[in-house]
Amino acid sequence: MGYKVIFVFADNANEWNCSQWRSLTPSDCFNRHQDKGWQGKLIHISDFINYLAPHIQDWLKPADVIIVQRNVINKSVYDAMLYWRGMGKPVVVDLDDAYHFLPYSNPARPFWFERPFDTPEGNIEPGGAIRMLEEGLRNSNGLVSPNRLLLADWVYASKNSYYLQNFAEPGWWGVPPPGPWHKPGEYTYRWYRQGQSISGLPPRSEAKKQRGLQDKIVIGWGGSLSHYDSFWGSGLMQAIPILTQKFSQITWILCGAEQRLFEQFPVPDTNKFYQPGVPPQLWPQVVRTFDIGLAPLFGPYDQRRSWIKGIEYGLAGVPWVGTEGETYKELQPWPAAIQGPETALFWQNALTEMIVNLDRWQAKANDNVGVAQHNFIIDNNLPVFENVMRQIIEDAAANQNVLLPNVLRVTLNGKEKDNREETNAAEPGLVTIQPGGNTGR
Amino acid sequence: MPKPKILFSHHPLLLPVIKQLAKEAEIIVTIPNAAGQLNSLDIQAKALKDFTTTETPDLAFLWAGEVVAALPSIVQVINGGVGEWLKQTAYPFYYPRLADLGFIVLALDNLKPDLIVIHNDVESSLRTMAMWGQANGVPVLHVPHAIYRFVNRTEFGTDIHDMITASYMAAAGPFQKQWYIKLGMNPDNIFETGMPHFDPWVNRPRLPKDVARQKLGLSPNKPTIAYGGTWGQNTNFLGVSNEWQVCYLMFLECARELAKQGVQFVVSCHPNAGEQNWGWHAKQAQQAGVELSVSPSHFEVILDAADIYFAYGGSNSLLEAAFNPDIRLLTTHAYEDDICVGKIAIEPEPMLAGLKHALLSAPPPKTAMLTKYLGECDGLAGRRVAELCRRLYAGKN
Repeated sequence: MGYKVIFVFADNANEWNCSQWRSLTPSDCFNRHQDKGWQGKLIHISDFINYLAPHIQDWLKPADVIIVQRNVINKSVYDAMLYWRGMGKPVVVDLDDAYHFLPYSNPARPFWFERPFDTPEGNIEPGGAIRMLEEGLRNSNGLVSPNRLLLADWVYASKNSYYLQNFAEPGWWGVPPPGPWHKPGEYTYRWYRQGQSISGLPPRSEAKKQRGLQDKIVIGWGGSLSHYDSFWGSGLMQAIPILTQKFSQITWILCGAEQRLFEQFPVPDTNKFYQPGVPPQLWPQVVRTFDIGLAPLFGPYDQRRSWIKGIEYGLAGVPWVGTEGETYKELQPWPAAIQGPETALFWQNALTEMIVNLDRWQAKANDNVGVAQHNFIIDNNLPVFENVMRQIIEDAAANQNVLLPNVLRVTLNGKEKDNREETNAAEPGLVTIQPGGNTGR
Repeated sequence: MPKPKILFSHHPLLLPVIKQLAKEAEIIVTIPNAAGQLNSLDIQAKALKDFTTTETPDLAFLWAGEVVAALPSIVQVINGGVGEWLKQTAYPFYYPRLADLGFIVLALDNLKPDLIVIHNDVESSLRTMAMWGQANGVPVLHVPHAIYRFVNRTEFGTDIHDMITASYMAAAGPFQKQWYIKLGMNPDNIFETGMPHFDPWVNRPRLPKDVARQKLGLSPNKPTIAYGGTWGQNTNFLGVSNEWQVCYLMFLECARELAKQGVQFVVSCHPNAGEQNWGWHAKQAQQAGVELSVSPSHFEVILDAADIYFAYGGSNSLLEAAFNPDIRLLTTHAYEDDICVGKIAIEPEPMLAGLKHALLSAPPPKTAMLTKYLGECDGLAGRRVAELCRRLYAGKN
């Protein structure tokens, strides 16, 4: 059974990433399965707050579930959330980033920690957007996240917690779109045979040749500005020069916005290559050039990431090395990956093993592309979404007869009174005041 | 060509206007918190303080000191307790406040906006911005956040809201335009745009009464009276008034009588009045022995649940309620010429009789009242105000 879901997204065009994974990819997937009753729509958060505008009403009215991405840090947003909850629609918050653990190297930290914000009482206090995020969670029906540690961190502020991982767009990873002849959950596996190249993505040799890297061992990584500490703290940065000295044919490719890291890479310029950011649909072709992928993590902030890098390497047939922990826990059994602790020695040993036995590791990675498609392509995971949406709706319905939040009910003696009888003025102490829902103040 | 710079004061009603102008103009807002909130909504905005330098605070204090030094010649002529107090404390009282205003002036000197948009002429900071605009040939547009009325005062000029410092006015409708003409504003500088704040109320879809009542903890089938809680807004130069509290307490006495006949009640508290105010309304109901629901939120749901909406005089919430054709409106004073709003005296027996009569009578049409106060009521006031802003900053250039 399908559901109609509204995704309230927060990314702007310059930072488009999270909204792709958490909003647009699921929405597009739902719309490919409208015959089963699914529907997905997007609305930007700045339009969501105009909840009484006729065109916004028309857009949101059919929704079964409304999912608001991260920026529940503004009273206008709370008002919109409460309004739609008042209209009987569950409104949940989606968080895929541990803002409460943002390192100092992250440019977003001042916004989340240091700016003064309005309190619900109308005062301006320090504490940043984190305090407002807590208030936003209290105004919702629950929290959705691709990381269980994040759910646990916010359990005190969110009524319910829903684990929902990231899944990949089929077309970008060489997977043909679903057709009527495909059975649910099986369509991608049927199209892949062991040893075949992945349709739609170039062979690795060709992809490397296009960049002049055909004779190199390409070890690659791509990401945003939030990974600075990941390299330095995980031990990888210390291992890089040792590995480069040992294996001179290594070329390290750094992709994305993190130019600080590229400049600080402790290797000669001939051993490193910078790849600027590309649109998300072209990213698989970049990943395809890697002989080995990297997934370093450091500290509590990184341990609350989603598994995106792991599944991307899996879909691209790239063996990878990563830091162990919550982020890649479900990928521990992955045959084409090595996970280990935050030490330079681990990185040296793991990458040396992969480089020395590269053919074997790449064969393992290629052999498991079909498994990756089966498990990580979003159209194969509609049952997961169905379970989560159903639970969100059932949990909200269980509260339907409970008062809206922020409603105080003044009753006499804690029980219903027959209004036709004579009523004496209530004595102090006999009258009870029952808060309705979560007052959150 | 550089984008025009528009300085906005910090009020939610201006958000629809800011959104329309965000792509074509540089948006500056008066406080950093408001800029941060706009940025979180993907609307690029700066704060006025971003246009200051490290020297600005010192310069502001220097200027404040010069002004305060001139005070003795002014306070000498004020007699009585106020005069004595001023003579003792004028310097420490005014010095930091004048420095705050000096800070604003210096920031404006650096910013050089092409248009200033304010939501009232009451706060000294906003009035300063308007006066700076007048002194420097920069158009200042006042988009009122409410429709003011003749409440708790004897004549024009006895309330802070009667002051005009802006050069242009975006009046909500004919009533407000006439109001400001009477206060001495040039009619050519007053434009009837409607009030952006009311745009979302036009053609608002409504909840069924029984559903709305259940969500508020009320019985789905009993007649329902909603009371508009308020707070003391002491802007009248002639003194403060606690009549709003007296009215509520009297309402509770009537409610206790009406409850015997099966009527139920919900109180909608002012969202800006604070938790203490909300608790006060609940506690008074407790002490009066009246069962009801109280909330500072969900005003739309409350109006959908109610048969009658009763608000202490002058409240703009009656205009929001007027968009609901099924609801009967009651008030204590103001809206004198609006026959669709019933008037009830703040006395026990007349109030009870008035509430009973309203429960038995059908709600009259409210279209004429909405047109009088809000003009066209087509949900496009925000666009008209944005268009007015374009004309004003283009005229300056």
